[in-house]
Amino acid sequence: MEEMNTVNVEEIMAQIRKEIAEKGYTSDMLSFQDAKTVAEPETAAYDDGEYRVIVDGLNRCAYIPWYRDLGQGGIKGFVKKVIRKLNVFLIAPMSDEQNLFNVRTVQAVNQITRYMDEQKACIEAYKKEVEELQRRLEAVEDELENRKG
Amino acid sequence: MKIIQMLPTMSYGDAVGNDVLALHNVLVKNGYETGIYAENIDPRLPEELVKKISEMPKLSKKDVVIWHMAIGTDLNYKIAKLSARKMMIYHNITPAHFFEPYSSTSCRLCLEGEEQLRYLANKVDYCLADSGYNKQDLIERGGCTGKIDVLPILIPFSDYEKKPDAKVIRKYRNDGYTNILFTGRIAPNKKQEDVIRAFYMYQKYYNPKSRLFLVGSSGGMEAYSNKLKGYVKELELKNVIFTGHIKFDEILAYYTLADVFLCMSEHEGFCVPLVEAMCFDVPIIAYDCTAIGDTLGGAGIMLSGKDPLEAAGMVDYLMQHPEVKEKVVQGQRERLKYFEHDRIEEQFLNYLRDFLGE
Repeated sequence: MEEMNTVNVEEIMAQIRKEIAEKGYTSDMLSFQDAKTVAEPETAAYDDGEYRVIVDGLNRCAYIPWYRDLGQGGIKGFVKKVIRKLNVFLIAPMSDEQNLFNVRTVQAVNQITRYMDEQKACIEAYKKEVEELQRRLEAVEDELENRKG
Repeated sequence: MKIIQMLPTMSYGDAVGNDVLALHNVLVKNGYETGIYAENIDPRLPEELVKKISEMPKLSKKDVVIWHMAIGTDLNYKIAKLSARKMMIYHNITPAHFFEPYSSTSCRLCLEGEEQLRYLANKVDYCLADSGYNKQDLIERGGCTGKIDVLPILIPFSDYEKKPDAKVIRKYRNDGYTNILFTGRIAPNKKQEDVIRAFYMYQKYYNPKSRLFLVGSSGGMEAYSNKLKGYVKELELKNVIFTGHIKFDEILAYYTLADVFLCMSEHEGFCVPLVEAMCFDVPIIAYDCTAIGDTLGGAGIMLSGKDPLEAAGMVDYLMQHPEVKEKVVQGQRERLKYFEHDRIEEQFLNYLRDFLGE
């Protein structure tokens, strides 16, 4: 493996550092932590495969259970369980409402997907019909031409 | 005897999914009775190729399960209970702390994965790791008490010979811009913000006529992706292109257009894009960490630190010194031979035969 490394990275880096120092370049810039978040959903061109993956994912994550296994014993686990119990009256109904919304939304998306599939099948059938009609039209036109001739 | 590959999610076009498919082809070619079973299956995959785990046939002690381990899933407990012989391919589990600020689900799945890895330690009979780093990581995390061998990801190179998307090429080719590329899921461990930081320095001090392509889906990491986009906006950076999820021929087009591949990732179990960049003769500059050194194997240029100015300086150096760039590419071509399909296929079959006692 050593043979292939014919580039002396350390030597190049030393030159780069020297140039940086000479020209007075600095690494000062806004830190990533201080940057604001922008809400920009991906709006790439329609990709049927990607759409199906998203719909599949939606169906799998629509229901969000509020009850989670806290998975630990001891004092910490006990305290967490008490907190969970104290919050049930607030979290459970909110979670149910959110889940109802999620399920309805996913059902709507599934309906749209099925409608798209039906339309796709219709378009395919129409395409074939148009092709057949075009073929027949061309045959009739040819025949007319021959009669004229 | 059946050899079954199992994994929680069979995705289309990701490193693990591609590895599973490539191994499947090898098994079929060599006459083994085999199948792929997953809990979640990408609908783009052919229905007959990957089946639901619930449809898996009953396995006997003679059969073999190849379990692909990359994340936490209850399947890890089910695997342990199967009577078949178990081989685990360890693709690594990203440390949970990377996801903490952006996705509690990913964070939880990674933590569970670490715990389940320890649970599986004495329940799998044999392990394969994608890289030397993964092997070491598996030992350190206490994930395997048996034998571990290293087997790089099997890459179907013939896929890269397909025609790149002409529209993307037309849009960016020969316009005098230097194109810097990073491909990979938008994910906090891949540190796209550090690529952006290096690009900022490059555009500011070295070359304003430059462009950065960040190729990869942000699915599941929208919070991180939106933060990255906010960062680009606040830095008033021009020509940073987030492609999002794109088709394979479009990915090929971005590799075709790239002048430099810049990777600042802080956690990789293998890093397939490095091999892809080698395949397209794109010189690689990468931060040296985790499996990066294993995959580059002395090729490319490895950075020991993350100073964005130094990374930018290195991009400029390569662009200003075509003879050095050529040497780097030459080294990468040599390294690429190590990942040749036939070689890795043979290695896999040898490991498998040893395991089966054939």
